[in-house]
Amino acid sequence: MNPFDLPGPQFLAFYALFGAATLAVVYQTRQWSEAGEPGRVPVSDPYAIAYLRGGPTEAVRLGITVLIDRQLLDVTDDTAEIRKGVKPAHGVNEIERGILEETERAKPVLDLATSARLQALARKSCVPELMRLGLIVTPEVMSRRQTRVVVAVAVLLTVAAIKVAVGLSRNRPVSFLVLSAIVFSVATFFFVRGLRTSRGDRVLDDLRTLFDALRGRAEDLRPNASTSELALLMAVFGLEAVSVYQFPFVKAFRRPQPVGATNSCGGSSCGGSTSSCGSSSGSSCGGGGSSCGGGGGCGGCGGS
Amino acid sequence: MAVAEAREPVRLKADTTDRFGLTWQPALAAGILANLDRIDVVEVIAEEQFSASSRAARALETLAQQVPLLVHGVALGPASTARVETRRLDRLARLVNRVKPAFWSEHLACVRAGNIEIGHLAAAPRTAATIDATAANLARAASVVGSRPMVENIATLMDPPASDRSEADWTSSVVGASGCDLLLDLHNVHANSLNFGFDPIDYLDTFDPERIGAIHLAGGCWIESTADDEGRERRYLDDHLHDVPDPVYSLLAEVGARVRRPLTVILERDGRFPPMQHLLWQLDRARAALAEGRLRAARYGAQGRK
Repeated sequence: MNPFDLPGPQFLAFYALFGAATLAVVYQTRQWSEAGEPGRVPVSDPYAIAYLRGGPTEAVRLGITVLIDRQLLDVTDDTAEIRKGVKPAHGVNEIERGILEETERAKPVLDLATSARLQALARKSCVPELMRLGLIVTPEVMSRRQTRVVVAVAVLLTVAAIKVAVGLSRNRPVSFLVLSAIVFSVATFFFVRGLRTSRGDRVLDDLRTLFDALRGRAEDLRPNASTSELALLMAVFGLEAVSVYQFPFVKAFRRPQPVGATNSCGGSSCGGSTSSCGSSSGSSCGGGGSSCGGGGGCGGCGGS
Repeated sequence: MAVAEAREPVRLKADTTDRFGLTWQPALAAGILANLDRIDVVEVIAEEQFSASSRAARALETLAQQVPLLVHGVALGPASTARVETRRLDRLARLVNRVKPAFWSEHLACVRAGNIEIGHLAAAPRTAATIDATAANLARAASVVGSRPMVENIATLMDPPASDRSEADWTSSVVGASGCDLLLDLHNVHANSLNFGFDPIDYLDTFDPERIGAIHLAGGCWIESTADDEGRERRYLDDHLHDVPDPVYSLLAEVGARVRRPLTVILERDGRFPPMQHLLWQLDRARAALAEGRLRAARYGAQGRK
């Protein structure tokens, strides 16, 4: 049976299946080609793990957190500044030294975390090793991803184009098919994206499993007591896993809510350390005028 | 932290082929992985892995690629006249095959009778019959798993009834009959010596030093129990919840003075976790104790022994 002879609705169903199958093939070939045993990975290097999880911004945010916890950096009113007597050379790697240099004059934490110079330092410090281990995408891997996607899109569009030609020759409407072809083609391009290879995904997932208990006792971590554990917690799970109660400075990483905006604490309570209320102790939760308490919760800031 | 800061780390280096490590505990994961420069090996409890999800099993394989692993069994129960269960051996074999540990080990204990799990590592009656049966069980385990286990002496609060020989003689005979090397738990030796009044050095001297392949260190505490008409009796319990006591480090130095082969030393801590730095400090003390014993043997030969 020639599928191009199918009536419109049946062909659309066929094309939907064909498109889904094409996406599945692209996904699976990407998984297979990028998979493999993780080998020795930098489990003792929280910066590499943070980069693997979220790119250079996460590595820089980790550096700021570590330096504050080691009492090399002070945060006052969301602004970071190197402590008196501390020198940039006290940082243990390029990222830390860069942060300390940047904060020789007080700088907002948010600006620091997104500083192009610091992100470049993070890339320089983390990328070569992560690429060598096959955990993040190299130019070669990216090229293979693009090739696969181009081939898949070409196949999708060719099949659609043949049927469009057939349909037009028979004076049939083809707009749904054209739309489907566009949707599947755009969806295919999602498989080009992603910082990590599938091996990198596996390593990150395994680290999350191994450190699960650490996340469970995040509230027990005390400031300036176990920086290496704090660093690994943040590296593997992100800022959201760090207790705002124990480490109130992490609120400085959160962009303040614009005045009048509805905050994300819908309803009557917004407990927990991940609420997006306020950027610093005592700042007001936009809207209704109630104040977000410092120290982790923002009790009772109902949406305005 | 006060505990860790109060003491200077001991930095004597043991023989470079000796390895020092910890028992894997999820609560210690970050501490262990952040300090792989000071931890050479990690011991995982076999039974905790048997019921692990596929995600956890895969994570363990990733862990095995970061640090050498040892597999330590607690529920095989080879010290029994009953045959060890095939089902348990199969699981163990699969785990060993997957993780590829440097070696695997099991306690010389009885853990079930009939179909009843004791839920405890119990000492078997120390007789010729249990020596033969234990050796047969260990031979079967070696055959299924593909390698001989190291066998560990256990701590006990009571002398098993119907025994006709000492614990040291029984354990030494099992080691001889089975061909398995000994995982010498020095805290168990210390605890049993306190509870049954023997000299731990005599205990060490019962064994061929070259059959000692690994060491366990742990801590314990005194407990009081109602004994007989004479009133309350104190017993020393091996609970893995306290620091390694000083006499155990002394025993480790004695082992170092006797054993020439490289040893793997594992610090067992199952709860009430102190800061990681404190556990690492205990590992450093162990390094220093073993190095001291080896140095003594090198200088004075057999006279280096106490």
